[in-house]
Amino acid sequence: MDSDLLIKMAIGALEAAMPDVALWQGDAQLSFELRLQEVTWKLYSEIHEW
Amino acid sequence: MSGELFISGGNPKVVATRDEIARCSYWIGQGINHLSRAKSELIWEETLFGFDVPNLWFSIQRRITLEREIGHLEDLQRSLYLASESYFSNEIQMAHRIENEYLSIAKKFPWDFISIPIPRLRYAGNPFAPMTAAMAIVGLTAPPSSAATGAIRSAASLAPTTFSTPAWPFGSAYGQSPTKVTGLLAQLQSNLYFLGIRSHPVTETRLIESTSTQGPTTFADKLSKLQQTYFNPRSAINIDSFKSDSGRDLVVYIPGTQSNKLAGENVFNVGSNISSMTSTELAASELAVRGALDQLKVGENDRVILVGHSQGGIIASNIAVSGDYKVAGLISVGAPIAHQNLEVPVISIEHANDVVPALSGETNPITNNWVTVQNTPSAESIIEAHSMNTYIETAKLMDQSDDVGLKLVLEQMQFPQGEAISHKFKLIG
Repeated sequence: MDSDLLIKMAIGALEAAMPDVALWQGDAQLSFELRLQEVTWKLYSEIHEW
Repeated sequence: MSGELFISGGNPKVVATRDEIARCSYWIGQGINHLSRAKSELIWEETLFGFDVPNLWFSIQRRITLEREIGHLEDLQRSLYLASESYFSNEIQMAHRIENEYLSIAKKFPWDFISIPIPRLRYAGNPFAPMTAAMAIVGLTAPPSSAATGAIRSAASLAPTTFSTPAWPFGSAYGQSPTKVTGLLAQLQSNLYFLGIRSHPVTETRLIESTSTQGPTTFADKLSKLQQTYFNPRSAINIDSFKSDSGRDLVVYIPGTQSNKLAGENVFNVGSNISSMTSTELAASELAVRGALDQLKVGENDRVILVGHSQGGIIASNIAVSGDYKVAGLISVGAPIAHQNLEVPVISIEHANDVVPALSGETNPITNNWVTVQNTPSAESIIEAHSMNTYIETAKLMDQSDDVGLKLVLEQMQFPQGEAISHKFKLIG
């Protein structure tokens, strides 16, 4: 399978992993979300789709 | 008096619910799988088309990026596991305590398990019936212990399944089987109504005394103040009014059940216990407390902090959930409030061998705004384990505690101190 497609699938999975705000407490949710977003953006830039 | 407090909640180390942690971790795992596969694909392409230099350079660079991002995701997944471990550790500690003592009681009092009158139960066909009955019998007959409390909690959580709609001769309140103990009580209430037994929804609130006072500084002082509401006269509440920058800080002290009647002059009766655990109507005691707040003309600029023992804790939680007042905090003492969706800072003080907090059939959530302080005092009876005197001893231990969660929730609450006017109200049903 094309590596572009696999990276797109990984992005889809990471978007599903985004935290549900109601179920988190404190700064942890924001910190987790930012770290996850950072990875997602890197992967987006890898396949040049913004 | 046992000297060990078990405190859970209010602790920022515990970051999310167990299910949410599992969900996030699963999807991160999926992401890692896809990226690892992409990396393998690239290696395969490099092997096949290695002579194609521009593509090879691109492929190697992409592999390095993917490797780095997989590392980041693995770090994130590890953080999630750490968070879930810290969450589990609280639950596991609680479960172990209940399990160990439950088994020791079962060995000591085997007759409680054997003498359950299963064939006589109308719901013998229901597999939950003997279990619910066993739990209730053990909980009520065994000496006060955390296992007895655990048994009562289990009985309360199983009760709605066991005694569903057909249990009541006159139908249910909502026309469906309740899933929670509050729903079951609503059914009971609707059936009592049908039989003409109802609590008196008309109450009178009389201001009988206003004196100057000093706000309590320690937990022990706060609970002693709460205990005073039980005496001179009975069926009374206390509201301390402090001046603040924006308006007033009002601390409302509400006692627990004082009368075993379903209705009557003393609003802190059993009828109010049932009403306060259902959402069908306001309990007489809650109506009367609201009457006192209305007499003090509590407005938008006034912060209200509620301190309640037993039934007082339940109606305090109802008032906090209603959103009718600007409630800034709640201290519940031996009260079943785990079923409430409370967003204000909450300090729940419970004894592991007091069955009353277990009556909601649930355990308090572990959240940033809700801290549960549990103690196992030595007590001869359930009544002693539930009494204000025993809880005051626990409060003394809390004053010595340096638990992070407890301190953070107390800070959020901003319990007022200094000079105040103490208003005493007599509540009449």
